[in-house]
Amino acid sequence: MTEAQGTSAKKTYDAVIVGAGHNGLAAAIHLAKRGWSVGVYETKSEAGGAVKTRELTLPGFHHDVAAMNLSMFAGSPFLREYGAALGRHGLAFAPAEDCFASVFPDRTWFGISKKLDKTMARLAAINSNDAKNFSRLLEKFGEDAPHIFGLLGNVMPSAAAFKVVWSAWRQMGTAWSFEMLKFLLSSPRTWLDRNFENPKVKATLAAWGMHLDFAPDVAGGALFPYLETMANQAFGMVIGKGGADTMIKAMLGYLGELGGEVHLNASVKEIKSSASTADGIILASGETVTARKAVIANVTPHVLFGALLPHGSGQPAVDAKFKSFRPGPGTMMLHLALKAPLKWNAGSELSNFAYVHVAPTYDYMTQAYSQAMAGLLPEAPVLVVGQPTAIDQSRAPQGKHIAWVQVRMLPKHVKGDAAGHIKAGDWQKIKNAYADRVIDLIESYATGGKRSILGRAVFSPDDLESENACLIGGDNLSGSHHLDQNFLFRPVAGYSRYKMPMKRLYMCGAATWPGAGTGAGSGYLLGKMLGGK
Amino acid sequence: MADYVIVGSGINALVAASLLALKGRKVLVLERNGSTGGCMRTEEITLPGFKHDVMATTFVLFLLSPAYAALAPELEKRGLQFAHPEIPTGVLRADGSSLVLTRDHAANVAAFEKLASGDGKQFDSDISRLGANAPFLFALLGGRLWSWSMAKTVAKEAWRRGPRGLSSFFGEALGSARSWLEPHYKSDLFHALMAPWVLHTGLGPESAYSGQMAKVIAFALEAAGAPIVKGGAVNAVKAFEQLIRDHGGEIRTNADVAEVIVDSAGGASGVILASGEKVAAGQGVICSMAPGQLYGRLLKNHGPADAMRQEAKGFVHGKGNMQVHYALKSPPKWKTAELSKVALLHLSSGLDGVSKAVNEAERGLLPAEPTICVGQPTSFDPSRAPEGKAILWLQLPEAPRILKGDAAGEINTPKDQRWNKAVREAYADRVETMLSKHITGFKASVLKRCCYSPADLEAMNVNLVGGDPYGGACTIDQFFLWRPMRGGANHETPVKRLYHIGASTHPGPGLGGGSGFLLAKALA
Repeated sequence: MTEAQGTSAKKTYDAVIVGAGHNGLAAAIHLAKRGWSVGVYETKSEAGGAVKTRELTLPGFHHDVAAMNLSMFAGSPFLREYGAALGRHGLAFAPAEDCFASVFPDRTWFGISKKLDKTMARLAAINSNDAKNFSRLLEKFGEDAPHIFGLLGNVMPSAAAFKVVWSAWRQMGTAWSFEMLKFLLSSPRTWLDRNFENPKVKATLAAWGMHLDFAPDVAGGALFPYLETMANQAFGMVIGKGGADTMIKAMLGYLGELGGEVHLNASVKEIKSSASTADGIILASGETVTARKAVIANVTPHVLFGALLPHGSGQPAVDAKFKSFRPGPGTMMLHLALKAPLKWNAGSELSNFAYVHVAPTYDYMTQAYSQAMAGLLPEAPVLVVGQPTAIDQSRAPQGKHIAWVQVRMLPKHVKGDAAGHIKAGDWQKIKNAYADRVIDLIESYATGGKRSILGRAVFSPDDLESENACLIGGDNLSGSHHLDQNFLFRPVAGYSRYKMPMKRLYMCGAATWPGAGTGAGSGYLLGKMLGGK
Repeated sequence: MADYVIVGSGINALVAASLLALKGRKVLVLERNGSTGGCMRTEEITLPGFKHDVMATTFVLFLLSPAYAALAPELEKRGLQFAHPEIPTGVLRADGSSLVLTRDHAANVAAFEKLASGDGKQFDSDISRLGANAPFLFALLGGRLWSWSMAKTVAKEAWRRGPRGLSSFFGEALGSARSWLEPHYKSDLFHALMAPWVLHTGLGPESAYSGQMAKVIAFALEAAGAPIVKGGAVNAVKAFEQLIRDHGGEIRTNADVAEVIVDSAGGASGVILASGEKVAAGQGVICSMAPGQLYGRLLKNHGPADAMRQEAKGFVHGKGNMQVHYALKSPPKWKTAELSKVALLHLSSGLDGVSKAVNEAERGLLPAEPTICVGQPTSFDPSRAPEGKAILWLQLPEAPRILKGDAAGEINTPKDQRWNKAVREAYADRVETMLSKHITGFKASVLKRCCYSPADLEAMNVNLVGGDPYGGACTIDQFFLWRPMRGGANHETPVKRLYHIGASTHPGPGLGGGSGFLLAKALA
């Protein structure tokens, strides 16, 4: 990979890409492969955006700073085309046998393992009807999946997407299409209540809605518990071998091989345009870079229509819509270096799971969400406890472990504490107090966990935003995925096809369709749109 | 023999019966209760001479409805008169700060601009944009969805706005009240004025498309105010009944329909009453009720309806509602005098407060600080109470259907999780304490209080499942094309000549009489 210097001679590329997150790199790779010259400019000293791995606590403990789950990347159309090449550049996954589980206050648990008989045995033990319900859904998943992934895997809207819908209607019929549309509008609760009986089973699946901003009652959220559960059951979950950044390192390596250039510590000041056509960028250093065919902004609308377009796109009304693109609730990341794996009171088997959710009931989840939306620190936070070392021992020194704890649904500006203990104020001032609440909560489900902590690193929503300017208020999903900002409304209705209101200017990234995740969806779709299939 | 037998006598049934009767059809309305009108009932429930609208009271949606446009002269001839308040709505916060929405758009814009610079302008542009969209919007909210005219309407809009414009119309329409209010309006007080209104559409401030519904309501209140029926909602019912009878129709109360008769050809040919009496219908049977009643009871023995019966089991009902009625010695002396002129005043701590109370109710808790909707009928219809006296109409739209506890940790809820008199009155006391902070000498002025818990409301009207006054949750997956459920297109059912209307069907709840109007128009 060429590490061009910020001060080197005036550069010209076919495509200039702003932001070295994985979608930007995916677009760069596809374009480079199609013979375009590409230059990627990243303000930070490290590529990867929200996919980074660092020794955050103690030497030898490798923590995925934000994203940990690479299942979407492993199953992505992008990887289908470039998997072999990326393999040559060291891409390696560590598969999880036991994917995700939820713990309950009565010292019980339920979880999904890749081995179907394991999952079914647990279901049968809880509720035999739900065991039947689960198998029925899993069978149906086989029929539905091609259509759903077809929709998720195409530019929205597009002839191709329309073809998917059309053929779905022809193959599956009107009733199915009608139900599918209703399903896409449904909240997790309505869908789960229609399909399952047991509250623990429902809560375990509903937790996936909380990975985005879909509390159990939010319309349009049913899709995520459904897809994640079925996909985890059918394909399992994977994380990166040695760290999530294995995918970034491999992408950088392959991009270099293709002649693409990545410039780190190269902060882009603004996007250059003439005659309302984007034709390059100006770096903070003053250097200008020319783009012959395209400027691709792999950033959130706030960044593109804020700093990068100081004079706007020339269409103020449209710019206003991009500026009012709504972030989702914030996240806190809590990284722990541990003497021993967490010993869950509910059962030792839980230590093998990639994710353990602390989100035991609908009520627990809706309360945390509604408190966060009202600007309060949730009195009982929703946790995703990731256990990478259960799957990939190389993440920590021999015999030691790490925990990746994601605290979902936190306010950007803290008006108060729903529990009434922590004074409202700057995240910088309160983050450790809140992290203590999180650790006490974990302790209540995994006694002794506290004592086995060797080191911790806390990233408040503010810290995440300063790590990555695209995570507004610590929103690790680059914008709410509610119905008004998803599908053909992502990020802004009428601009969901990556083309921005300025000639030769494009946007990709989690803020664009098909949304957040490590699936490289938008970067690859945009790459194909520009460079051809 | 009647051409159409209409089961139920709520607003939609009465609208359908009236329109069919006017078209020369012979209609027979069968009501299981002792009186007609569904949620429109006026009774002296506290003391003699105090006329309370027990449930529905505001007729703004009716005034704006195509049903009213078609029936106004006939109903007015039969004594229907509206009383109009000076100020349709307002909000009052615990700290005493308040804000009202008048019917004078310019005055509203000025007031909101004064509150926070930019808010007035934003309101002006939101309302005028909604005005421009109104024909399309009201076609979607009130039109027959599966029809050529709807297809043409949408196509026309697609052409007029372009695909980009159309998609941005729908995109914006899907936003929540929070996503409308927080980014676009600086003033918390303005948020507080609008947020409680989404409760009256069966939604919460975080619900999809609740932002659009809040705008629709602001637009409607400015356009038509918050009228009530002079002398009580019952006078609207009387006018409908007279209209129906004058056109050869018949109305029977205490006539509980137990079953729909399906003939060998799979068509509805009449109904059987609980008494065993058979009533024939020449052209069709129209049922205005909740899906559970229609498919779980009236069609329970009909095989071909099995699929719909299953669907009906999955039909979700919304939050409960509670009503509190007061007979007062004298009109309330609000500490802010202007508030005595407000027809529907919300006591609310604002957007976050409504969101919190909704969430508590959804978790089965009695909200610690519920939103209180205070109606003041006597302030603009003195005939509702004896000379010098007054009544108050209180609605608590955030009442849990099943009781798991009290968010304030004060009221003990019963083990069976059902509403009982003790809980109802204790909760009403909480509300009364909140209210009396703002009214001088309120408690002393109370002659009598009369409360209806969600359970009481369901006991009064079997279609208000769990005390849900909106005939089922109005979440988007159960609205528009999906109301009440698959196969409910254009109010048809799996049984030929059997039609389903009411709040549980498109276009949903409210006194607009939309489903009754759409069906009658299609039939005659």
